[in-house]
Amino acid sequence: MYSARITQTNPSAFIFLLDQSGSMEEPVEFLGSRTSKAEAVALTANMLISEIIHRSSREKGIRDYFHLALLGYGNDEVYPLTAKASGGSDVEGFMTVSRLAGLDVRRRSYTRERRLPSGESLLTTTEQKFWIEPRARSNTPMYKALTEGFALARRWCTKQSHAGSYPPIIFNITDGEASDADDKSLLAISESIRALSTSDGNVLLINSHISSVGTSGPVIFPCSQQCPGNARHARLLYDMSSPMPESYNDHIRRIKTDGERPPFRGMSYNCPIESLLTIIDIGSISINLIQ
Amino acid sequence: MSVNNIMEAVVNPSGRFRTLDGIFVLRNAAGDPIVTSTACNSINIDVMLNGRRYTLIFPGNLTENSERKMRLKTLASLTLGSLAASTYLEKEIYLFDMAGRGAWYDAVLQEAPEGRPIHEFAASCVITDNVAPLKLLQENFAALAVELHEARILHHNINQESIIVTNDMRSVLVGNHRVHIAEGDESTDVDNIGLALTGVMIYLATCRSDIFTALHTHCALCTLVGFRSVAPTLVEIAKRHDIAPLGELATLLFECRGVLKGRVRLNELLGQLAHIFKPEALAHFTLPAPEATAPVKAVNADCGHKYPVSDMLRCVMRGGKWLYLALGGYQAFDGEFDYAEDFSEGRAVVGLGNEFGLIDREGNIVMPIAFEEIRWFGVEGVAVASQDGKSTLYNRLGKRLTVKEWNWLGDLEDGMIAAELDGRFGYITPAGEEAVPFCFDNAYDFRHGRAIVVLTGKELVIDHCGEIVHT
Repeated sequence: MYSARITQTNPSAFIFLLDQSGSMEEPVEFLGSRTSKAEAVALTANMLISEIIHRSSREKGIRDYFHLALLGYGNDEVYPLTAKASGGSDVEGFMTVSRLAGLDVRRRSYTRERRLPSGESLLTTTEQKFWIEPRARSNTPMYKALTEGFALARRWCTKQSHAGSYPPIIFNITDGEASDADDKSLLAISESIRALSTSDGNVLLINSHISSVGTSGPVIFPCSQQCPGNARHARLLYDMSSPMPESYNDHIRRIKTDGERPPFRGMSYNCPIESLLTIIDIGSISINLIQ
Repeated sequence: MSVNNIMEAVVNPSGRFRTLDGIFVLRNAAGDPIVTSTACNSINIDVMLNGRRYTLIFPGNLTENSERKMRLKTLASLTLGSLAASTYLEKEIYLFDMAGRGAWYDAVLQEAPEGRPIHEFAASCVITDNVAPLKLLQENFAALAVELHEARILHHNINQESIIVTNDMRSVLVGNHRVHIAEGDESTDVDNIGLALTGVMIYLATCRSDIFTALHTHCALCTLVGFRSVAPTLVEIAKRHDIAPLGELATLLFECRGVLKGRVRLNELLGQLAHIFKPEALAHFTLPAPEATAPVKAVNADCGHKYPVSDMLRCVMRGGKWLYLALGGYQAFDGEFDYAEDFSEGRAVVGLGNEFGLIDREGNIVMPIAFEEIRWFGVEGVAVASQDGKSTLYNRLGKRLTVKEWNWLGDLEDGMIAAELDGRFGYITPAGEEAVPFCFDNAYDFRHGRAIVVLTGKELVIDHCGEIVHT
C-alpha cells in the first residue's frame, strides 16, 4: 500500500483547498518578512507546485506524473484558483503538470535571512511563480470546499485508468473554523473523503490549521497520545484527518521528539505559518515515487 | 531534498559553496532555471562557472546509498575523453531544509560540453548536404565505443540525446547519473543497443540524407521498438550491396530482444562501418508500410500445459533479485530481475530498474526491457505496454499489433479493452480496432457481457455493441 510507482500512465493527484476567508488577511511573520496569512499560504502552495514541476522535468520535457486541482474557499463560495490564468482545467477540475508549467503567471521575488555556519547572516532572494494568487474575503465555507474536494477525488479515483495509482492527497489549509456547517457534517464529509481509495490505498486528507505568531500549544502530525482532547476545534481537525501511512513515518519522526510513536495523524493545529512548509513537504513525499 | 531549497542556494551562492562561489544559473527562453530530475531522484541544474557551462548534480539518496556515493566518486576520478568530465564535491553546498535547518550536502559538477546532441548534429549536416563531418563523426563514435569498453565503463543511458558532438568534433557522453565501472563478471553489454542504433543512424545520415530524415522523423533510429520495423529492409539492402557490417548490425538489433550481447564484435562492426561509404546502395530504400493489425492467436504449444501453475516455473527471490526455478529446483535460465511476474501461457513480465519487458520460458527477451509498464494477458496472447505516456498492444511474439496509441488502456476482459483517448473513453478489441466509440466520460472493464460507463455524469450499462441496456 502507498507504494505504487508514479508514471504517466499511472499518475497521482494533489488537491489543494485553501481558506481565503477574511481572517487570512491577518499579518504574520513568514520567511523573515511581515506579510498576510493569505500571501504566506499562497507562496507555500506555489512552492510545492514548483517542486512538482521540477521533479516531473526530464531531458525531453515535462512529464504528466501528477494531476492538480487548486481550489480556494471564502465569501460563501468555492472556486478554482487557476481558472483565470488557464481558461479552465484540463480534465474535470484537474490540471496536468505540463499544462501548469506552460502557464504564463506572475513572478515574485521574496527575500529571507539565513544564518550560515560561519555565523554570517545572509539575505537570499528567490523568484517564485504564482499560479495561486492570495485572496482574503468574508467567511469560511469549509464544508462546501471539502464537498467539492470529495467530488473531485471521487471522480479521479473512480476513473478506471487511475484504479492502480497512488491515491490523491488533499491538503486543506485553514486558519479558522467552518462557517457553513456543524462538526457532525464536517466529520461526515471527511470520513467520506478518507473512504475513497485506489487499489494502492485510501485518499489522504491532511488538515493544516495555521495561526499568527505567538500562539501556544502547536501540534504537528500528532500521535494518539498527543490527541488534543481539550481544544474542541483541534479535536475536530484530528478526527477529520487521515492517519498517515507507515511509509511517511520516518519523515515525520525527523521533526518529532523522541518517544512519539506512530500512527501519526495528518493534521496540524495552532502552528506557526512556517511549519506549513514542513507539513506540505512531508505530505507530498509521494513525489519521490516518480518513476 | 527540495528543488526550491537547492535553487535558493544556487541563485544566492555567496557563502553557500565551499569551492564554487561565482556560479550562476542558466535560464531558458521563458526565464525559468533549467532544472531536470532523473528517475533516481537526482536534481540537475544547468549553471555557468568561470565562463563555462556545467551541470550541477545533486544525487538524491546518498545518505541512504553509500554504494552509489562510491560509484560517483570513482567515476569523477576518471579521466576519459568520451565522458563529460565531472568532479565529486564532498560537503560542497550548505542547504536549508523546509524547517530552516542547515547542513552541508555533496554535489557533482559535470562539464556540459559545448555542442549539440548527435542526432541534431547529423540532421544539420544532412540539411546542409555536408557529409565530411559525418564521416569523421563515424570514426570518432567508433573510438568512443572502444574507449568505454576498454575502461569497462557502463553508462546505462546511451541514446542520441546523451551523446554530444562538441565544437571540435569529439563525441562526449553526458547524462552520466548511472555510470559506473563494471566489476568482476558484471555484464558489459548494457550500452550495446544505444551504441548500435546510433552507429546505424550516423551511417544512414552519411550515405542518404533523405532516408535519414524519413527514418528520424518516424523514430526508427532512436528506439529498438522503432528500429525493428526497418531492420529487415536494411538487412536486405546490406546483403545486396555487400555492406556486411550494416547487415550484421541490423540483424543483431532485430534479433536481440532487449539484450545485445558481444561488445567486442559490436565495436568491430562500428569500426568497419566507418570505412564504408555506399550511398548508391540505399537508392531504392522505401519506408515500410505500417504493420498489419490482425491479432495473432495465442499458441500454447511451447507451454506444455494449459493453465499450469506458473507454467511449471517458480518465481523466487534470491539475493534481492527475482529469478525462475524449474521444478527440479535448479535455475531455469540465466537472468535475474528487479521485478518478475509468474508465467502465463509461456510469457512473463519482468523488470529491471523502472523498465519492463516480456520474456519466454527459456528466458529469451520477447519485448525489450524498455517499457514503462506491461500487462500480459496470457490466454488471449496480448500485452498492453506503455512508453512515454502512451499505451498500445503487442502479441506474444513481441510484435506491435497496431500503429494506434492510447493515453490509457484497461485490462482485457470479455474480449474488450477499455481505452482513453484525449479524455474520452471507449472500448477496443485486442487487435486495436475501435469496438465502442470514444464518447464516454469514464468506462469500466466488461464483465459477463456488460460494462458500466459514465456519460454526462450518469452511470449506464452497455453491451458489447455499445448499446445501452440499463440506465
